[in-house]
Amino acid sequence: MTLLELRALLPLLLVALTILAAMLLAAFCRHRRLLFWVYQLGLLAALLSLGGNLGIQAQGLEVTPLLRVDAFFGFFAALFILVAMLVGLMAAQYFGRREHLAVPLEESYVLLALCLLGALVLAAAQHLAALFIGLELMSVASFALVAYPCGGAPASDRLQLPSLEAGLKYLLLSSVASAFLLFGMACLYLQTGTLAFARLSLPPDSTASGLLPLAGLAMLLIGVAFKLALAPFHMWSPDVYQGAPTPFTALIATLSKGALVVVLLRYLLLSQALQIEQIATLLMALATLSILVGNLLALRQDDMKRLLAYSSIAHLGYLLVVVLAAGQTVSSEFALQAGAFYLLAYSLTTLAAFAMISALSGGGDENRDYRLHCYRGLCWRAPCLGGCFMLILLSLAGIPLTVGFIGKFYIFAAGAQAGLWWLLGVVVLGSALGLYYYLRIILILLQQDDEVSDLVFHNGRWLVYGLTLLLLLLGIYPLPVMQWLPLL
Amino acid sequence: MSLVLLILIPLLGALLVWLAERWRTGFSRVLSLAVLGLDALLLLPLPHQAPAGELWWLQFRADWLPNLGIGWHFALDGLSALLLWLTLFIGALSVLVSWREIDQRVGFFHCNLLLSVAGIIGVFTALDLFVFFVFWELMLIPMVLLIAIWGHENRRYAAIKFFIFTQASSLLMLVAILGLVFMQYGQTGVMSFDYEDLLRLQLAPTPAFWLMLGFFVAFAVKLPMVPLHTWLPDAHTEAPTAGSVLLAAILLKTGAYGLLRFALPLFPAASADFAPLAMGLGALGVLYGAKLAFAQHDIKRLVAYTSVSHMGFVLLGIYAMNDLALQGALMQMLAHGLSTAALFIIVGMLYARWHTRDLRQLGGLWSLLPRLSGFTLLFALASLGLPGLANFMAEFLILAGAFQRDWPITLVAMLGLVGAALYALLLVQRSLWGATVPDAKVHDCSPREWSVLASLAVLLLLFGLHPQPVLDLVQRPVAAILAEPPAPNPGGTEPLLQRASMERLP
Repeated sequence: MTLLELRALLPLLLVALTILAAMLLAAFCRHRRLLFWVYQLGLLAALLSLGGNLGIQAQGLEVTPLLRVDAFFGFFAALFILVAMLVGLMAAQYFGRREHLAVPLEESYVLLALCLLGALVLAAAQHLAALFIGLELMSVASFALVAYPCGGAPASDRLQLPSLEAGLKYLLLSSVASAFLLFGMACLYLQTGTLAFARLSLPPDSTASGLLPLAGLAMLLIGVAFKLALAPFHMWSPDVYQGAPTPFTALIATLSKGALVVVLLRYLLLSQALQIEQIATLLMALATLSILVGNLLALRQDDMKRLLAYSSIAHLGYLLVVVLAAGQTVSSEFALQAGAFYLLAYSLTTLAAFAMISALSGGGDENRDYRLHCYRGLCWRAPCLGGCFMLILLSLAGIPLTVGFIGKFYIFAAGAQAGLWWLLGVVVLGSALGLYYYLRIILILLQQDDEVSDLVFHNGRWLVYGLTLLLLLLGIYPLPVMQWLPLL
Repeated sequence: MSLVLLILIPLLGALLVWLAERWRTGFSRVLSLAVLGLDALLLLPLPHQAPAGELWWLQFRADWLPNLGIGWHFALDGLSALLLWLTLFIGALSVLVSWREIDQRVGFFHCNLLLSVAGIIGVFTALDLFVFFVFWELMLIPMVLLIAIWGHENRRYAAIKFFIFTQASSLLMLVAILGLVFMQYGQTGVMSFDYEDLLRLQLAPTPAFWLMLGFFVAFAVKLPMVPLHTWLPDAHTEAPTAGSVLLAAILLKTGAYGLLRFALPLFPAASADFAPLAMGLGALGVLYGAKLAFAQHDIKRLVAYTSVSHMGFVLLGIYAMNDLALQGALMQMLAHGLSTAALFIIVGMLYARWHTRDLRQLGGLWSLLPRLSGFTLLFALASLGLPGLANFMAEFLILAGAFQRDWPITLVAMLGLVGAALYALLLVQRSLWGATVPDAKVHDCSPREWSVLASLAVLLLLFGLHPQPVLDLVQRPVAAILAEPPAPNPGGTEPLLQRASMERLP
């Protein structure tokens, strides 16, 4: 391994170093604040090293057959590191205001950094082995995060139950998905004799090579769909969203899903799998179902976290439109940029949403804090916070002057360029359904508060303000980010 | 630059107004009027800056997202100017009529009102399709809040319905805009959302039809056209008076404006093919709106359905696609804006006095409120199209124009005039005459109310007797809308046809 390759991998190495340092500190010198700063500074160093590597990324460098460091990696790595830093901040605030529970927060930084390392590997993966390593790194760490101890003393077992249940569900279904993935990989290997993305291409005429590789590919996609919670493989996600501690829910909603989409894009484009008609049809069906099921099931939700889970299913469905558009030569470039922007917009908005509900929780009963009626009249009691909540919801719905609109605009543009008119029709339908439940929450925020709910406000509102401001700024002037969107 | 100021002033004014309420109660009302007045002052000298013979009086261009070919492009012509005047005038009236009605969260109310006005001004001046779309969506959110916060009993339902109808249809328009832009990209290799670039695009008939339909649906929902109108009665009825006035007088006009500015010029051939259907739907709207207005007990709902009927005339006029009918349609937009706003204001005044909108509980108002009743009679007659008032002029021009184009449909639409007479007279008969309501301790028009209604009445009378200034104002834009599409490429279909017909001539 040359020095250049080491330099290219420096962000990953720095994150790995952070993990080690955090682990040792957690074992020998348990100090909450110290660990927090080690984590944040380690990630910041990784981010800076990423900035120092722009030259290498621009040219693209193959580091071992497994990983490839290029602009595509650079963009998403930066996004993921930022997300992980914000989630770390959110976690510190979330547990900071539950100090009476004496939650051992130290280990969570190790797990968060592990998750991030997995995501970075996925962003650079160009080989099925790297895909699997990255995925498992990420998943195993997130099982622990989902089931993270919420109540320290044995007396508060009741507090622990929802997250334990969520963790177990996540573990079981993720394992099933991993099994699907592995079996699919095996089938593909049987046919092609390689695991590198670029050489995995099947002939477009699938009947010639038999059904086995095609089935393998389909299983691979199904495995990914499980992890992305695309309908009809979405059953686990509302429960996990609801049960997990809120900052870690945010992590699953943004980092885990984002990294998978990135690797999916790279895999599908390098192996030209989208040229196969059946695979394109499968993805189209997944997209249609996700958009409709996600939005329809969100209509009647009364729990904010479950609602966000369903809305995220729909958003991933919109993202699949971009993935499909990327498979066509005419729109490939634009669709990649569209996907990158949408992922950014989605991550930012979702993080803001979770930061918001996390800042509003902690009033006592953990499960009741996220009921929609708790937010009644928020706009009148705390105008700034309520206004931010409204903007976040509008961004989720894709209304202009928020980053969500630019994201949705990109989806429509990529779809229109690729000529996916039917799918765009489904997106329009889904968005119309989506408007209902987002507006419903806005109207709840605006209700007169005749009876005072027990909602309390805590620290963490500055994070919300910052994220909302960013969401607005990027919605009004997205040019700086647009110029930086990567190509594969 | 003054075009940008025209939008920025209400936009920044909205924030100021919101804060003003904290300094002094009621200050936001005065300040809103001042903001709108300042905007009007700014608009006043613009016609005189116009270069002679040019369609656009003035233009403004600046980059926004150059990588996607999106720029701030605003322009003003006679058509936009007419609608801007209407917007500012009605905006000021909305502030005046909510003087007593709105007593909660006054600052935020006026903030929303001004934001909505800013969005509408943006819609009427934007010439970049992306910017147009942004304003198109932006004017809605404050409107939805106006309905949802200050509306009547069923406001949440009405707000959600209004939001979903308009938003979903505008997404279809977004798809159509993007389809259009990528076709232009395919032909020229340059991405541009600019109106003037897209006007030059040559489209094959089939894609042109579908893209036109995307635009048409979005505008038709706003208009509203008959099968897509169901949001309107709810939104109008549940909104506070100022909201109903804004909705009826201006927001509906954005739909008609969109058809005139975008759907017709961008897709001339496809629109011409589509015209018989659109005219038919317009005539259907005229009859259906009149029929339903006739059957209402709730006065506000009655007025809302008359809107459907009147805007049916607008649709009919626009798709008749000749000078006379288009001028009539514009006149109708103006007249309907004034007369319907007046009727909604009267309903609001009645509601403030009796807390009911039910015609069965009202009656004999003439003896109690002679001044208000006089105005009611006048505006009801305007609504039925009494000669001498602007509505008559508008409907006459539309029918005369449409008759040349398609006389059977025009005959059907004319039946709507009978319907109009029915519902207008019914309104007058049930509210002004008959048994007197028991609770008679009410006061007649206050000077504020009186001046609002009188100004509307004077304008209606003025435009009814002397419509020429309005017709002059819109003459040039109408001619531009109806202009032949730019000459197609040599080797295209049309020269071939011409050659074939020439060969046959001798």
